[in-house]
Amino acid sequence: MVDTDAFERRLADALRRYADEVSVAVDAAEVAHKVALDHPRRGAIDGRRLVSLGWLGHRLWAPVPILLVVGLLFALTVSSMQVGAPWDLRGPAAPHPTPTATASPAPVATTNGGGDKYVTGTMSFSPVENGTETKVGNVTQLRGLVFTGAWTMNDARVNATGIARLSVDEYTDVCSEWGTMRLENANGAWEGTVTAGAWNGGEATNFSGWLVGSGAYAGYSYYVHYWGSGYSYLAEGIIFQGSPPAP
Amino acid sequence: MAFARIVVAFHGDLIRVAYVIAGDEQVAEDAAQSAWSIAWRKLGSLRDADRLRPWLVSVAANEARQLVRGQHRRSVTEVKVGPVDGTAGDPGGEIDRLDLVNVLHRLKPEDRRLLALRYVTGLDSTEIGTILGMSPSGVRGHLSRLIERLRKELSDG
Repeated sequence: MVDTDAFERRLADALRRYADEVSVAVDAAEVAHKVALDHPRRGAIDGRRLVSLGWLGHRLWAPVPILLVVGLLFALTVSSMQVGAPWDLRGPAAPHPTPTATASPAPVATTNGGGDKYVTGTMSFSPVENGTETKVGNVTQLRGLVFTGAWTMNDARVNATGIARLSVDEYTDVCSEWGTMRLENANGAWEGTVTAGAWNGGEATNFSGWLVGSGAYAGYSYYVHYWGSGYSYLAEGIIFQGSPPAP
Repeated sequence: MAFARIVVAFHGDLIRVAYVIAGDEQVAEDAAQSAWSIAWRKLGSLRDADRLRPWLVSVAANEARQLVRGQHRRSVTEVKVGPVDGTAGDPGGEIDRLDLVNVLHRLKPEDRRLLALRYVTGLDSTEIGTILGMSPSGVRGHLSRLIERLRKELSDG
């Protein structure tokens, strides 16, 4: 850049002071939520259209650098989990909607977020393990898929990283998906089952599930709903004291 | 990095640059919001993580410039008068805020964008050249002429 003289330095100072007059406060979760609502079909990475979670087998043909980063994330996530992962990589052959993670948590008043709340934010994930692929008639059965994810929510209790282990039955244009999920942050964890449907050639995926709190969140339940395509999803949910409803 | 974390990290940069270009806080906020919408759709095409900040700032700067151009014909811009700091006319002291605002108002939005990218965001001539489609030497030359103009208009020459 050009050499700076005294005037240029004063000009730079004045411009920075002027720029600092504007308020830069932002609700990042709200911004992310709004733009994702306005543009729900974000999915292009590296110039290529990504498909939904139901088409994971194809998505895992990612560039090598991405896979290396994903592998590193997976290693970090696994190493950070003190209690291990209780899930079977081979999911059941059909959706299994009953939460199995925790039975009747005892209410405790240790959460940092108070009581019940509707939460919003975003979720992004990365594929870690490809699993296996079996063709049964017109259905492709994907088993043992593993993902890591980062949740950016407007409530610290569910601002977390996580791991999901999923199975997918891929039909001609739709998918059914199910599996387990664990979210974790410094204060506790949420764990349970999720199910999903995907359609429109992979442009739409809609997940929901019931997660049960542990650690600081023991005694609380988190119903989570996230939807979108590509690697980034919109998310919302509710947190409340008590157990998930019985079917 | 999740999108909201990117917003947290860079929103300040975006809105400050937009404010220098637009001279209006609401327009700056609108420009930043538009920039985040564009970023949401196109972020995946960015291959180099080191380019994230310059790219985001450039998007916000362009949005601010376009918003200002759209508004230019419809009204006279209101110049917000700030506190008097007693240094007006002092060639060795701080540049008076009102003088600066008036000078900025007389500049083209493209010139305010250049000033914002260089002095508010701190990008170098190579980064600015990439954003504006100019050579680094072209950026330096344009900036040098702009500074000379400001030096005269701020009675510092």
